[in-house]
Amino acid sequence: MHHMTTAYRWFQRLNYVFLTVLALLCLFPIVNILAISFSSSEAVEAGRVTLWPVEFTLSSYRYMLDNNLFLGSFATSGLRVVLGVTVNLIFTVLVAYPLSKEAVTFRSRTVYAWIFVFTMLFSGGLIPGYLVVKEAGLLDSIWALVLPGAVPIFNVLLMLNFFRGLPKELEEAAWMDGAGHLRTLWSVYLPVSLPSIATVTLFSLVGHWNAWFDGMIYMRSPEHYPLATYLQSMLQRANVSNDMVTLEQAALLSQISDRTTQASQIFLSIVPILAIYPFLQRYFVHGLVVGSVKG
Amino acid sequence: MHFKPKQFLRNIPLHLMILPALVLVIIFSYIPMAGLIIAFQDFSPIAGFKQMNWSGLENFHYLFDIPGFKQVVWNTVFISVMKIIAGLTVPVIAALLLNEVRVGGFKRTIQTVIYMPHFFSWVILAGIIVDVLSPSSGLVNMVLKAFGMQPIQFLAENSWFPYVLVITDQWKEFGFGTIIYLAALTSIDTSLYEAAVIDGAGRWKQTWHITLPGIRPIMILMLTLSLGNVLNGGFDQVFNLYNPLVYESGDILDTMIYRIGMQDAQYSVSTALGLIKSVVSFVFIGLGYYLAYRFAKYRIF
Amino acid sequence: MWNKRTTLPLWAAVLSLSLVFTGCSGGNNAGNNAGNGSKESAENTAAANAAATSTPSDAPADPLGKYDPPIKLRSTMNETGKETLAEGDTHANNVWTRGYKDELGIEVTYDWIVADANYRDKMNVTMASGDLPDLLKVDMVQFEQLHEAGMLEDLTEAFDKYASDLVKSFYAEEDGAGLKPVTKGGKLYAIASFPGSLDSSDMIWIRKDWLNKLGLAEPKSMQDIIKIAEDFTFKDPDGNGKQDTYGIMMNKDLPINAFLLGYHAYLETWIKNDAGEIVNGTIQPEVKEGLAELQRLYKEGVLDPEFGVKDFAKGVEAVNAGKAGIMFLPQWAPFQVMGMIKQDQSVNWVPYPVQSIDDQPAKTQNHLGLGGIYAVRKGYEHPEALVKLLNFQAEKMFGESADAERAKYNTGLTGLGFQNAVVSNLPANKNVKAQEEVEAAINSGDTSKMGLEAKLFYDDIMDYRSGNLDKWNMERIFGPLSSQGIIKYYRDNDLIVMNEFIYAPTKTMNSKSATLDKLRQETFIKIIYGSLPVDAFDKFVEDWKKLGGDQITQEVNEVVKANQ
Repeated sequence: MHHMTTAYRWFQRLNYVFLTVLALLCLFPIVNILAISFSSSEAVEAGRVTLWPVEFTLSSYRYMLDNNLFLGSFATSGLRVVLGVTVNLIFTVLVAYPLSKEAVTFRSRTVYAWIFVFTMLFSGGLIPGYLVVKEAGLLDSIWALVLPGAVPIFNVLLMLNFFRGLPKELEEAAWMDGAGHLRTLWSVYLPVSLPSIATVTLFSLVGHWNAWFDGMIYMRSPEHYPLATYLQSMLQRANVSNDMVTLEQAALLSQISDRTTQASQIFLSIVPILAIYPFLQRYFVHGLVVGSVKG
Repeated sequence: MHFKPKQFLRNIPLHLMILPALVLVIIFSYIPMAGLIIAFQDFSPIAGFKQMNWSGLENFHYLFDIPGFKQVVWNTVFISVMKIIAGLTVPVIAALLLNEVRVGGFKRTIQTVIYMPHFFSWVILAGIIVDVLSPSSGLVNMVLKAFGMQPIQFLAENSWFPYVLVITDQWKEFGFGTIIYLAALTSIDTSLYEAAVIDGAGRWKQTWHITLPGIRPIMILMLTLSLGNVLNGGFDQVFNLYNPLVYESGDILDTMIYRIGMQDAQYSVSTALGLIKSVVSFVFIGLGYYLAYRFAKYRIF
Repeated sequence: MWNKRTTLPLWAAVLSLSLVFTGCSGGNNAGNNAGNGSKESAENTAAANAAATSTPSDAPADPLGKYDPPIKLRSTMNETGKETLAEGDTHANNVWTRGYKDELGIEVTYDWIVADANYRDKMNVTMASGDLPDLLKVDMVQFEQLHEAGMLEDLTEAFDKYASDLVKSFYAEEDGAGLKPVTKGGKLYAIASFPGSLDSSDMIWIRKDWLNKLGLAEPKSMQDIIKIAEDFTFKDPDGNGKQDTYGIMMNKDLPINAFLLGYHAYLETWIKNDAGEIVNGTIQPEVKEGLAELQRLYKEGVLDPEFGVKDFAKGVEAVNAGKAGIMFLPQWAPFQVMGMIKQDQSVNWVPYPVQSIDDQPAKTQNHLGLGGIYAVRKGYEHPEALVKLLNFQAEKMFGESADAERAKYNTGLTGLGFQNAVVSNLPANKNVKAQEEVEAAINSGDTSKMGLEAKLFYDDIMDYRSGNLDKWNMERIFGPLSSQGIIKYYRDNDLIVMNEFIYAPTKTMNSKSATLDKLRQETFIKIIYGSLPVDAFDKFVEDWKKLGGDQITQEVNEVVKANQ
């Protein structure tokens, strides 16, 4: 396809080696977690586990599979992601499209843009946010996790830049056909924006999957926690320090803060998000956009 | 400023498209912003917002009077500026290198793997980093020792600590950061490359003259937005990695305020700090926006 | 492999519900304190009498009387994991909530349930939202805020009238120190969970098997401790032919109290000086001596050379890996090394009392540890319900019904089901008393005189002795050679220095402590690492005083005086 110079061939070889090394570095944490989850508690406590299980056992997974809270939080997170990502996508597209217009044709766009960007920078903080959610009657509802962040400003900015990169002829052609704004957006812009849609989808998906603080503040009981909140509370529980006083605290912590169990839960919690990535990756294909337009 | 009735009518749907988002943002972002007034109060959760104990600028004075405050601000700026620079260059380079990979399976695998560390919290990664950087048993120091060098206490020496933060931050985030540029690469018109090949341009020239300009808008956007982070050093990371030996170089605004809050829930002081950070971000982002418009004639948003 | 440190939200200072006072009460100054106690109880009685005469006399109060019709009580819950629950139970509906309903006629519901670590945040937003539950479980800072805002019900009468003899006996411990911080102007505004101060005692844990291997005698002085630490470093106690061990386990939080006590230095403790003023132990010259020795030991390699970057969990990891032979941990230390005992039965961790560098006896420094603080929202019609709930928990675990019902209520995998009681309090200093009973029973073979809990501990120890390694920790906590045995030794030989300050943090503490703590941690750890000379301590003392320390000292003296 391309004529390859010797230098470029060498570059290619080095590139493969370099990327492989990078990938191995990035693989380290997950291999470590996996090894810990399959090791005995005693080996983990003595720091003997790095990349391979020591005293192999499945007990942490067995323990976890009958843990209703963990499994339940998976379901909550699933629901949250479906609702949250849908809502995020709708608002991203609806806001990014008008803002991608030139100021000459849509004068108010710059004011709108700053109104949205301002909310990225200034926040009222924990208590006022809670009060608003409470007054809106959303406490303990899945919507408390979806609506306050319904308009993902960063995604909007990203999307509007992608929209701007689309050839002007597209829009003009649509107008010639008598299409309105909504139709132009739906049947002309969106079909050629799959890579950018995949990107913002991934960002909101990851955001919703990882968010934990709102779950803790807005949900009434652990039965309604999303996965990230559940994991967070589990990890925080294990906080031992010299200041701890009672024997009962020490006893409880020693029984509930098993690191192999934690590791298995952490591992299982990132499996779904890792599994989804390859699906979205399919849309990152070079030249998909303009090629299809011109073709 | 001529009123153009035709254009106005044509833009009504655009306003309507924005309206629902605007309403949500007003409810969930602007109304709570009223809470920022507690930066100027002696706020106690129990009195809530019903009872106002105005304290003027006292909370700001308190912050500025904290011994070593300047050092902490400097640490924060130093760490975050380096992180901004790294956060802009490393993912772009990684994306460009990935772009040169012709084997699809290899490319996708690498992409997936480098994106993984993003999903581990700093609590977990910090434990791993402490082990890997250990002077006696850590991998990095074993390599140094193999080359005849003295082991280095990376996490205990002020001359190293900020760089460890920047490098480990990239280790966690560069793969995720790459995604955005990979998406941007897809929007580059392939016919440009074909034309370049006909003109006899090599890969290097193509990258320089086609690829980089193609992703420039996104790069400028990312740079401008990341300027807003100039007072964020990354709380979770620093909190999990630092220790009193490196307070001198590693204590940042957020960890400082956290330690103050441990003593007493200092809502007013932390809100005051938050407000300062917001204003600074606002100024920087505004500046970036203006410069991009002035010199590149490009509105980043 | 990762540390157990938490990831924390920025604006949310997350504390566990339990808080520890770095202040102090005067267990040692018995005369002084007894004075306080009797005066206070006199006041309490007076208040109660006044209340009693002003209200029409009703039926004699029954500590466990049932409400009919049942009453409703809203509270909140700090959950500690499903491991404390019986199969099928939830935090909202379990053996405790059913017991409250069936036996007391109190329907307890929770406005919310949250993980213990996030409790403080959640309580703060709840307080700000103005929708207070009837029964408030708060920390000391929140208690002060609620009290100042006049939101709390006076519990003086309810406690006097309704507290069972059992509960009253728990709070009489240590001259009633447990209720002092929540008593304002002679009136009781909350009841604190009060485990007593003895369990905060410092001690030194040593690998006895290493002592034996190197032919070393048990320590009798600080010099011995230092010698042992050095031999553990240089004489290859694990016998692997490599110099890969070190004497003392340490971490970046600097748990050096048990070491400094050998120099009669009382870190972070408010002590009385010869002039009768209260001063902070951190800035006394004795600390400098101890630091000088630690600096020397670090240089020699006797302290873990990398301790500065290790948190608590990483430090314990090194211990479990057999790298260190001495650790400074409280009475619960055996829980931290269970794994290594199970792997290698020759390992033998034994606790020793703190040792002295000179002819003055070394003493432990203790502080009053309060768990949750329980208060009642002003305006709730049944403030005595709180007292009844506490009576109920005490009765089921330590009263007459405990024999039959304790196991039922302490359900769950952990046997620690009392965590799900809406309010709970463990008898102050119960552990050392149990140890006495256990030791007596082991010596005499007569188990008939033991209390219920002591008997359980005794059974565990017998279980260990017949081969169950899972119970080794009970042997080292309650057996003849155990941490509670060390505590008994301190208690019986008057070897305790109490923190004189037991109250809520003062104004300047709130605003300056973080700065002073940073200064101390930074200076001390740098001195030990040798990057600052020992004389940097003098500069530290100067700065400490200037940066708010003097102001705090003055406030502490005022508060203590005002409460005398």
